[in-house]
Amino acid sequence: MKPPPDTAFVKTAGLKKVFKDFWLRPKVVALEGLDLEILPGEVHGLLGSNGAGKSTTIKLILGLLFPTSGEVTVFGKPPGDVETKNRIGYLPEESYLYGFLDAEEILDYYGRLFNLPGPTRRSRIAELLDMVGLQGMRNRPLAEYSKGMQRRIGIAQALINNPDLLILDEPTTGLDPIGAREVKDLILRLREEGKSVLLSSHRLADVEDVCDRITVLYGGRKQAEGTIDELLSSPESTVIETDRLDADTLARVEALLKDAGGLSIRKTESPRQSLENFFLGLVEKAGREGAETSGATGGTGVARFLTRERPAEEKDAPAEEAAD
Amino acid sequence: MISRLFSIAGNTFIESLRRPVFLAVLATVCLLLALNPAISTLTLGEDDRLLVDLGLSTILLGGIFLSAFISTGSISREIDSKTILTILSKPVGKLCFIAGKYLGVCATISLAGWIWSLVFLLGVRHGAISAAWESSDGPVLVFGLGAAIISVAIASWGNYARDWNFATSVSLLLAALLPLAWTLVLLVAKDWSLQGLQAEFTAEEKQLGQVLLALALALQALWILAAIAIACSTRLGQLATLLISFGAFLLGLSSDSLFGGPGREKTLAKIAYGITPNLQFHWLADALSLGNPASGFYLLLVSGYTIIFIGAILCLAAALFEGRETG
Repeated sequence: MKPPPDTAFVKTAGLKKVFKDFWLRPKVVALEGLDLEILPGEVHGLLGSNGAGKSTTIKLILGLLFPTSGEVTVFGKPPGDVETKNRIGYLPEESYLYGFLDAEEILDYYGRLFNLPGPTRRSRIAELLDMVGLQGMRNRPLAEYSKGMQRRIGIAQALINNPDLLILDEPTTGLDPIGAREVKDLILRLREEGKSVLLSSHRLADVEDVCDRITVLYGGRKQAEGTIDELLSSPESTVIETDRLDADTLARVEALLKDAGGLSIRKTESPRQSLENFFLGLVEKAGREGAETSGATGGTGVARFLTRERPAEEKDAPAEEAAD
Repeated sequence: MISRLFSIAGNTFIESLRRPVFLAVLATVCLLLALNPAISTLTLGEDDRLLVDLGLSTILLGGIFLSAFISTGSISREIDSKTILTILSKPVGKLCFIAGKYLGVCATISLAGWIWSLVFLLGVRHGAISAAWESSDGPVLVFGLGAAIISVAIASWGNYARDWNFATSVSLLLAALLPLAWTLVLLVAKDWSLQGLQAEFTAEEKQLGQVLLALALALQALWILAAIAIACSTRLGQLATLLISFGAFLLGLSSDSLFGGPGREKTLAKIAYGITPNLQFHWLADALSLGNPASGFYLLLVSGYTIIFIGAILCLAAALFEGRETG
């Protein structure tokens, strides 16, 4: 049930990128004939091994690299279109930030690049710092931040303009499990708000948790594309989850299955909770008991300006942004 | 676009001020300029002329060093550290980025030039001590050193108590307090008697008006060199940019003799003369030594040349950068 292609936020057709050496000889074919569509309100996963072409695809979409051949359009315009970038948020694969600035200063700087008015900028910065759990460290130079804390600021800067399209390149790299969970929750919440997310990640579980559709790249070529269900469902078996069954009940179930067509139970197990949930439970308990930390704390949920609950004055901001 | 331009310029300015090299070069040149009156006594009879010559040369060379460290890496460093990815993925055009970086670098160089000029002017007022019976200029020492000590003290307190960046705060304090010190020095004669503001300007041996003109032109030369460094930085690494910038500086100071000599009618010589920045226009020290004063009209002419040259170089920089991939 794909919407018509012309509504796609991002569309690439036969996209090819060849990196050349000093003598302009082809050196690496990073991307070959990629057709990709990112639809409104979808979370699209870009999966692939190292060097598969994920980051190259993202940089071509952002106009940071130029295609060797093929076409890219973003919101119906060429990727280099400056005004289109008002609607995009981007988190690079590493948190490339100015170490001499502190968290507040850098978010203010990026906010200014979007021409956000002062009051809007200040309220968004406060909300974002709360969201990424760095309010307590807002005046420390970024050079003193840990990798995970820099990642959190990277995520905050990608959201300062309340983008319609959020491009996240390995967003959970360097984040602790709390941060990773918060990023995933954020992505899902943004989808609820009708925004699109392009998520490039090595962490297959992250992609599986949040993506509606995925594109798998290998050697610069698309290997597979589809919804998670289309690609991952296994029609040959059925899993039923119930309360714990005793041996007698299991034997009766097995007998029933045998009668129903010669089926048998291949595996029974008592599922464990995930390590992620166990860890998050411990951290939450420590937080409730008032344990102190000099690092990032858990965020306070998605910033209000990113949701439909945002204050009335925030709703006017895009008009001011576009005024430049 | 204007607000984005100034945001990028402001960020570049703050970054430059917070780099340790800024404070190191600023302090070294200030020290050399403060010692200038003492060094100038080593000549016989030409001490005041040497004072001006040496001061202008120190400022120009200090500016070249500062420009070398700040301008040459301003764009290549953004590309190498990939901070540029977060800028150009926002609604910022490459031309805006280049112009913003240039303005930020120029603001930094101008701030340093402003501070150095004031230290130099205090030195000019003090004059060289050419004979044992000459005493130091009390008002210069009191007001000049006072401004420096107050600036360092407040910046140190701010750094200790409020986490202010020391280099930034001391520079800004010096930039604000030194003009005050110089104004006070103009109002108080060497023997602590009060005098009119114009007294120092009318003193023939000081040529204060000409010195101010020379300082303004030297600063323009630094702006030109910064533009060249920015243009190179769009395509080259820091070392190559550094070498080209120094080459441009040397060529700029000798283009008349290199390309304007007997073979100046040849096409190649004409082209070379045209594209090389002629920094001799900006170097008034020789004219001052020979007693050839420059006029305000000359300042206007050279300013026009500076603006056109910088405009052309920045257009070239934008063209070079537009076709560059930054990912």
